[in-house]
Amino acid sequence: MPNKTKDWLDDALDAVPTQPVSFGFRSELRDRLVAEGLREAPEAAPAGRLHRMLRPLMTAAAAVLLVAVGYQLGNGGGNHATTIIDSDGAIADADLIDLYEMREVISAWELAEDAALEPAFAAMAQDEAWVEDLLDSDQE
Amino acid sequence: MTEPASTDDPGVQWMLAFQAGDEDAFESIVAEYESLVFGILRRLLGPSGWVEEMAQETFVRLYRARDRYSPAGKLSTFLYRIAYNLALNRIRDEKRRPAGSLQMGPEGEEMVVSDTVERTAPEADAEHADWATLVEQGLAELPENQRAALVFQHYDGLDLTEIGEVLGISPKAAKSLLHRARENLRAYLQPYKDAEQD
Repeated sequence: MPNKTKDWLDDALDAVPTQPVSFGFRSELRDRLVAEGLREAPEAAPAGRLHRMLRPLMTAAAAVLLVAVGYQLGNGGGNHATTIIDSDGAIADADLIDLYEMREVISAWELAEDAALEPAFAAMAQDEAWVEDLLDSDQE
Repeated sequence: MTEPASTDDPGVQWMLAFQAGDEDAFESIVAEYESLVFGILRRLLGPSGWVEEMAQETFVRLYRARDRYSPAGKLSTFLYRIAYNLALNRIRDEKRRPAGSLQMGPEGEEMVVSDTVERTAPEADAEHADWATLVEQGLAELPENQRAALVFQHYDGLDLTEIGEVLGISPKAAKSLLHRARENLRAYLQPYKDAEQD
């Protein structure tokens, strides 16, 4: 080796980065050796390959689990649909009152106020006298 | 000129074990020398997309050489020689293609490659000079054997005998090659250095 003193050129050379070994290099090398017939394929799938094969199945299972949990969470508050028809087919007054109150909440929504967007609510707004009559008769 | 086998070199021991049928010994060689091989190829080929491909090829060649391998010198010297020859072939392939032509990359992708290094005016660029890029451009301008000698000496600490082993020349010729490489690179970088100091 030449007897040299370190000068600015050596400092400049030191600035050049190296290249890290790429991820998966060894497994790709093994695969190539097998593909070229230089090395026999392992009899049992190695853990890495097994994991790669199972990964799509595990992902699908996780997705199904997430959907199922999401569905259950969506129902966590219980069933908000109240049964308002009695077994004999009559509508309970109390349920009608609940329904009316819910209608008041819904009609407070801007969307419900827009007749063009929600014609059904607009129609209800024009013809709500029967509910008020019912409430009045209940109080009597 | 051939070095005697280093019986205490772990690489030689692994290679002998590999010759005897121990596949795990080859895994040990890859684990031990992969960083070295990537480093050599990166410095010889520059920031190209070929480093990984050539690194893989280096170990495949080593694997194929199992039966005819004879322990002479360190295993690393053997790997340097394989990597250097592969890089040299790669560089020559690139040079045979017309400048600015479309080429296929290692993954089969199309790449526009120019043989001419874009040089910016040192005065204009000195303030923002990226020395890593400048040195890589300078190394790319050197003849391949000068570049290799400088890379092996500076980055890998090979002595003149080892450089001569890899390049197939005498230690004296390696010393001369190294001297010319340093002077050529210095001449390439000097304007940038001067501009930086102004």
